[in-house]
Amino acid sequence: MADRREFDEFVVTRSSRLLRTAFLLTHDWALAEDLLQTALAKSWFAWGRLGEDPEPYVRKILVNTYASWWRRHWRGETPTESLPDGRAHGSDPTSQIDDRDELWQALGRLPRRQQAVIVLRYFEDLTEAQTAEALRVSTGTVKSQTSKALARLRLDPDLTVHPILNGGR
Amino acid sequence: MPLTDNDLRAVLAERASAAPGSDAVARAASVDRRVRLIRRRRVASASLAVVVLLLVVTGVSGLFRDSRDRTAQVPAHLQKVAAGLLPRYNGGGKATAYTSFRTDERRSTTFRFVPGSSGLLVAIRCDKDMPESQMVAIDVNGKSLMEGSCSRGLNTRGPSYGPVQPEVDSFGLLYPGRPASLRVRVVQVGTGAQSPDKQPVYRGAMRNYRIGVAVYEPMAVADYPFPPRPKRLESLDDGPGSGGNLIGKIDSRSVGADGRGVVRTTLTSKGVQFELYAVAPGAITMTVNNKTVDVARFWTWKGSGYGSLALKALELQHLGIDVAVGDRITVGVAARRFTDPAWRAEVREGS
Repeated sequence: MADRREFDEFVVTRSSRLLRTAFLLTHDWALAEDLLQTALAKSWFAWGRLGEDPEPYVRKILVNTYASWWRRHWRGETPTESLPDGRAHGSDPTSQIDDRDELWQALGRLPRRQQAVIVLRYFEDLTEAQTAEALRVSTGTVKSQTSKALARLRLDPDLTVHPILNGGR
Repeated sequence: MPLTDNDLRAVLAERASAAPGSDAVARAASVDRRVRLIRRRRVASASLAVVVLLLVVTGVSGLFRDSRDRTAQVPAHLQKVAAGLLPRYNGGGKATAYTSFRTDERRSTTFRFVPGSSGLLVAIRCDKDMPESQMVAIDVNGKSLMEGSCSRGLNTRGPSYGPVQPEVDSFGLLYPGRPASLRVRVVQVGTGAQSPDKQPVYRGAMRNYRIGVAVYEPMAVADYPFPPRPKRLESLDDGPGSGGNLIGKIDSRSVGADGRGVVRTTLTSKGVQFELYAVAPGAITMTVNNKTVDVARFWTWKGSGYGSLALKALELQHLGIDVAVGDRITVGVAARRFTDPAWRAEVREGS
């Protein structure tokens, strides 16, 4: 029987970092909170088997739940596609295009699996093997997805004039 | 200087560090509620059939109209509601109740509507980007439904709010045919220990925004005004491919736009599930032993996926399919209303 007290303690003390990971995947704090809670609830049912360090397991559930969300039309039902882009490119003279902000936006345009690889490799600092284990794919897939993600970023139209890509500032 | 690992690390660390204040104790309580809900669902294993049933189109009476909306003689897919902030047709549904308000006039609004089904979509949009510290919370019948920001990320990625999934029934939020109230309120996060859904209406200083919100009632695929086909479709190969062990694939590029295909396999204790991906609008019916188990609908020309629930022997039996672990089964998909060979399906073992 899983220990409810241990689980609650984990949620209270360890979930904040996982929330950040969820945010980097969803780009939205509310969705991140929902994603995290969904992953935690799923984890509870395996809690008794997780041993001393449940965090990698919860993270694994989190990234794979994120992929499931996508498949459940989180991306498909977009009420804004034909509306004017609210971003400030040129329309707001007071705005400054921030290169890091552009990179952040470009990250959000990556396919979900590539986003997950980038977040796990560059935020969580997981090795290729750990990333592969979390995403339930081979290390070869992690390598290729990382490579594709970086290639996409370099080809992203908003980043082709990006100082990071063109000699810095 | 090319894009470096350090650039990526810096951007990710910077964004993650901007976390709003979150209440971990409240999170634990919320997770507990979800756990109890999942337990109830497992007991009620016939819920899959209910989900399908709830998506059958029924009428809805929108009681609120924004007088500033005009349905000029423009193509249906371009019509807007809620002061032009939201499309009239969205995600397979038609806006049946909607409103908009300006934050310099008010910070919350409530409207009533009569849901025709539980498969509703709620969408919200602001006319410009809100800072991530300011969020919009939605309550249905006095209970928190969801909250999120109108920040740039949501505006460009959407949906501002996802579909109101059938589990709203489990929370007792909506009942078809029974009047419901929907309250939208601006809240400020990161200033206290309370989670956004418990935050009071924010009364402090903020920029002036117009916020639009709409409730969409599901429509039949045959009635939905799809947007016109773009000149070039997205790649069909970018979609997901994860899940349990792959059993077989069915691809419209070989079976045709409105084609069908089957995969034969032995049912294991993990069951079977469907992973679909489409870059065009249309519908795909999923079958086991020639009986419909689920229908996925795609409403735009943007790539989107659909993953079915894992269908184990028990669920299949509840759907009237007399099978047991070890039986040979025929798993199939049939597409309709696709104008292009722009979908693919994977049949996988349940994960």
